[in-house]
Amino acid sequence: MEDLERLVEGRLRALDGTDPSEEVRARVLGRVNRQVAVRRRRRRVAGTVAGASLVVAGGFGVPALLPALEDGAFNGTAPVAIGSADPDDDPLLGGYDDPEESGSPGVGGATDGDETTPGAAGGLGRNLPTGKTLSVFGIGADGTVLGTGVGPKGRSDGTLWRADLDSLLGAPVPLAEPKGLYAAAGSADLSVWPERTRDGFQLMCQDTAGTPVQLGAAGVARRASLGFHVDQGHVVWTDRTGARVWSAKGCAGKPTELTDGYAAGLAYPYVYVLGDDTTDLHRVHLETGESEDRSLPPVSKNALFAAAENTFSVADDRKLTVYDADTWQPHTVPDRLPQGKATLSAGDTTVAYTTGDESLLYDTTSNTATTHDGTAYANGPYVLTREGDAFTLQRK
Amino acid sequence: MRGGDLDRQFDDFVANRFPALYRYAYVLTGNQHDAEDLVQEALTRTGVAWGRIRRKDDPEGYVRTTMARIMANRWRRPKLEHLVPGVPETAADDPGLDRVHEIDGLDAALGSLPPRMRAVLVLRYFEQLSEEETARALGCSRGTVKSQASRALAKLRAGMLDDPERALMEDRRGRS
Repeated sequence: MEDLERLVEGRLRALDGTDPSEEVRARVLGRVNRQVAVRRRRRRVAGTVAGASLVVAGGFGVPALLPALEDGAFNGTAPVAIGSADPDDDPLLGGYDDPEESGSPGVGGATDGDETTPGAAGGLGRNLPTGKTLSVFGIGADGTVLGTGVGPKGRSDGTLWRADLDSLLGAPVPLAEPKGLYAAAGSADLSVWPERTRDGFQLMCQDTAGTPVQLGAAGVARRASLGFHVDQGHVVWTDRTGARVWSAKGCAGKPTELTDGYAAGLAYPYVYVLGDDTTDLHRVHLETGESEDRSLPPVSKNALFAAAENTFSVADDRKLTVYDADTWQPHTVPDRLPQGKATLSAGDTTVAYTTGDESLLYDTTSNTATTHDGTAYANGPYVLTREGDAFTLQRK
Repeated sequence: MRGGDLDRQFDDFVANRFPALYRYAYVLTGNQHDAEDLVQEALTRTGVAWGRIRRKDDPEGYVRTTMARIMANRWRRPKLEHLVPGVPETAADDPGLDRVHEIDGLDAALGSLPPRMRAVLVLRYFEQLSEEETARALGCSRGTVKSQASRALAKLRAGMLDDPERALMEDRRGRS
């Protein structure tokens, strides 16, 4: 054996002496117990046709048709990916999706949905005509839900479906069947999604006129948190080269090159633009072009961002930091974020980080964090959570 | 065996073997945070599949293999993350390990290896598995193991001291 190999052996053996503290033991085993229970439950649900219902709180007492999103991914208005769903039967073989391997952006994940049997109490059948069940990408600022049909094994029907609050009593509406659908963002009046073309992914837009149009020709970057965003009828996106940020007012608006960089968030009228150096963040006024520096500590390439009216949030290395949008005063949430691929979204008073199995909800008014088993998304005044087989959409 | 019995069996296994499994995760990852995540994920998968695990006589081997595979296939550390490796205090009173620690750059070089390469090194030099056994454990070909190990060692050589020969000399002195 070479000297270097012996050195490596010795170094690795040195690491073998690190026993876990009682605190680590309690923390890890607690999470294992919880995760095992959650995943077992998911398996049972996926293997049967379970009832699910959406409880709309805050004055929207209507039944709904939202799926139990397992690891669905949506980043506020940001695009996310759908990946394989269930852990494999053999734990040696998988269950831990790698976005890089799946070719999808840095977040996303399993999206097996529960099903609602027609006429189930408080719910509505959400079986899609394609034979799949609706799995959401996330919620819009007006409570609109965009999603796709996904089967028990995570296979998508390739269709973009939309359900908004006004149509919760009806069936989800199929909007498009774009190639390579991995994300969508928007509202009841405007929906945006990527579609794979010969020129890479292009951004498609559909408003109340009903005909999808392509936004520009520069394509869209397939990157989590940094791809495209929709707020108040405005769309911003990073182009395919990943070097420029574009904006358009509605689907009919002429795309305009806003600035260099990556679109990390949109809370109209402000666009958060990340530079090549990840510490370099600017808040750009969409109408005036005025730019303000907003520096960040170094973050990894897997960092997630979410913009809201009063906050800008960064999740990285299992830490969540919420910045005051005006003063840029940071507040680091002491709770460690759940492990796994995740989605970060932000609403008016809530920042939601979810891995699908576990979520952390941070209340920006009280500076308190709560954990939640199941998914959680925030946008505008809405927070969507799932507990067991039921979704709750609350207006905060 | 009924579900309750299986659950108790799994709980007992985890309670008894957690320290060893955590230590192995630490060897694989080189830092506490990733070790926690790795052992958590491996135990979770094992717990979910406990009723179907065939190797009931060696569940620890099963979990260790699961960890190695997760590490090799999925585990990617963000490029910008800089975790500082440290020799555990429990090993600090070992003069031989002190010498290892003195070899500037080896820790950093090990820590910067891609997870797959590090997993190969752990199986080959920590577990002392053959190339064939390592390939079987990681679910890849022997050629892959060979090339990954070779590239990993090359990276370590390049990433050690500016003058790696000095490090090797130091080690020779330490052992003579």
